[in-house]
Amino acid sequence: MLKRRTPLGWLQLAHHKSRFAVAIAGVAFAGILVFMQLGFLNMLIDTTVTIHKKLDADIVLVSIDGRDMVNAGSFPRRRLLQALGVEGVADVEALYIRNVQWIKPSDRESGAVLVLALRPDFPGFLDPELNAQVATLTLPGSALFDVGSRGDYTAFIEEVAAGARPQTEVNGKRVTIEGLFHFGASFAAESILLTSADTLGILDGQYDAGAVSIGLVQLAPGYDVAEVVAAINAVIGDDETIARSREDFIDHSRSRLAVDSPISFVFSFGAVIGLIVGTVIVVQILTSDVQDHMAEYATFKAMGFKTGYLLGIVYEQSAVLTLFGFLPALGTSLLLYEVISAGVGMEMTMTWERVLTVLGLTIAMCAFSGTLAMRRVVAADPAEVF
Amino acid sequence: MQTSETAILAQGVSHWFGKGALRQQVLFDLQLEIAKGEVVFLMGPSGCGKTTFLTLIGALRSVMQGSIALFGEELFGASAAQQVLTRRKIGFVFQNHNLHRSLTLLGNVMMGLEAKGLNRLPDAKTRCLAMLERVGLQEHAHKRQAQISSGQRQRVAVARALVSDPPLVLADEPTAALDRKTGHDVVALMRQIAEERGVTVLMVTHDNRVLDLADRIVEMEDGRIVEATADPPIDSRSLHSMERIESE
Repeated sequence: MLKRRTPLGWLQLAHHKSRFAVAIAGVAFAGILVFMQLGFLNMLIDTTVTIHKKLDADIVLVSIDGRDMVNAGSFPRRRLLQALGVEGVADVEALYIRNVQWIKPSDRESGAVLVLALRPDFPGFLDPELNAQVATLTLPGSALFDVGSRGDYTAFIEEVAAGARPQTEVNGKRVTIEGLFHFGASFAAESILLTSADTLGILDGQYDAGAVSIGLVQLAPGYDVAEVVAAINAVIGDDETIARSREDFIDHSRSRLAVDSPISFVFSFGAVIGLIVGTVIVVQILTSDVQDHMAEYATFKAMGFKTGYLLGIVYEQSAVLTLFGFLPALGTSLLLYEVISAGVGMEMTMTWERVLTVLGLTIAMCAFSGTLAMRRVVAADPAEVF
Repeated sequence: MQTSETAILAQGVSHWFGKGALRQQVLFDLQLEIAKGEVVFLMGPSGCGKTTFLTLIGALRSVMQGSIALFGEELFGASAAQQVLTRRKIGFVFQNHNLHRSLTLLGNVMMGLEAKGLNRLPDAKTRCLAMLERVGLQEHAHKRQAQISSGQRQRVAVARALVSDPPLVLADEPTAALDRKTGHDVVALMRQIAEERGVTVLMVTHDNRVLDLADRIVEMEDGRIVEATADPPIDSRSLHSMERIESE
């Protein structure tokens, strides 16, 4: 029967329970901080492309100056008509986006609402039920309300769901809420209304049907998206308008926020601070433990154990701290994600990629701390025990 | 001269500490031969160099000048890795037992096997328990060092040193922290087990109360061997004889 080496690292940690608890708390604290920072960053980025992901378009036309959905900019409608002439394009439609003032049905206070408007009979969304609902918005002044809006709209939503047609004001004009849909709020938009382009013309005095926010382009079956994108861009020949594939549109919007804005740096810096604090705590704990066991380590060396065996003890402690610190960090973060999602009305979701990232960072943090602590182990002189 | 019966042969061993102007010689041309199975006590006043000599014999320091051969294996010029391999053939008993606090007594004795890679043997645990029984501590096998007395801890250290059946045991002041009777009991036990197994013992001590247990006493002073006594002093030998009569 083969016997493994004595798990001295684990035994040493478990022997000093209070010290072990502090070390676990340190690793967990760092893990939670990293999870939260990355969670906030991804929530910010993910909610930025919520609407993008709902659109049913193989290709979109956007203004080169557009930053996000709230600040999409605009381009001439004739570019859409030019795109319609490109081989492979089956249909095009204009999506208009305006950020306007309204009276919030929740508390009758004034606030901002993002209005998305398009031709009612155009199936502009991936969800067929939503397209069917939009198709009913033929009456001027009718709109759909996003149940994912931030704020306490419970009573209002129940009223609409029960079949009532409550009214509110958008830019001082009366609007009837005909139904509900679910997109979800973002940092930029608390609430969303879906309506027809004609209704937007009534609600927004500055509405110009010739200035399109997003152009939705649907392809005929069998055409390569990249080739058609290239063809459209060649036809447009415009420095202010660009065609992108749907995926590119989403990626570009995400990376614009993640890479080109200081937001990533701010949240990443928070994560780094968490790792530094965690490292300091773990180094302190492991160094104290090594210091306390110097006589035993020197004794082991005298008995014939190699330095590598003793370094293994410290690495074993690092591994134990990683495991025992990471699991509560993950559990606590999942709980906090739920609380925050409910509190701000935006989805804060845990991904496997993030779990593995934070696990990797925790392993690196503990291994680095162990490496710093083990310098003393290397220095343990077996002759000194005599 | 090295023979097949020689356990330790030290010839012309000198040693220095420090560097440059601070370099100081602490051992001077030491000559010592210890036969296999012999129990030798190395005595002398504090600072005379006996522990330094012991660490050289134990391959815990590199031999600077002269020759030390353990069972014919030369330590002068040995690499760090060779020193580790040599140490695995030696059982060490320290002044401060240096038991591992988070291990049970059984776990500590097991480390004596693990250091030599013998913990993988199927009878490793049985062997450790038998050794603990031999030192009278089997019923305490699952206790930790904080739960037993100083004398019992030193017995565990003896068990840890001997469990792997090393041909040589080096002990450094193992009775220093023990009272007279306990100290004598521990060394007597170590000697008894060594005799049973044919183990050579070299023990540094300045404890006159255990001299009766030595086959030979080597005296050191100011880094030199000044006297090698073939037999222990009469009064100590009387005490040893009396105890043997009692045990019989």
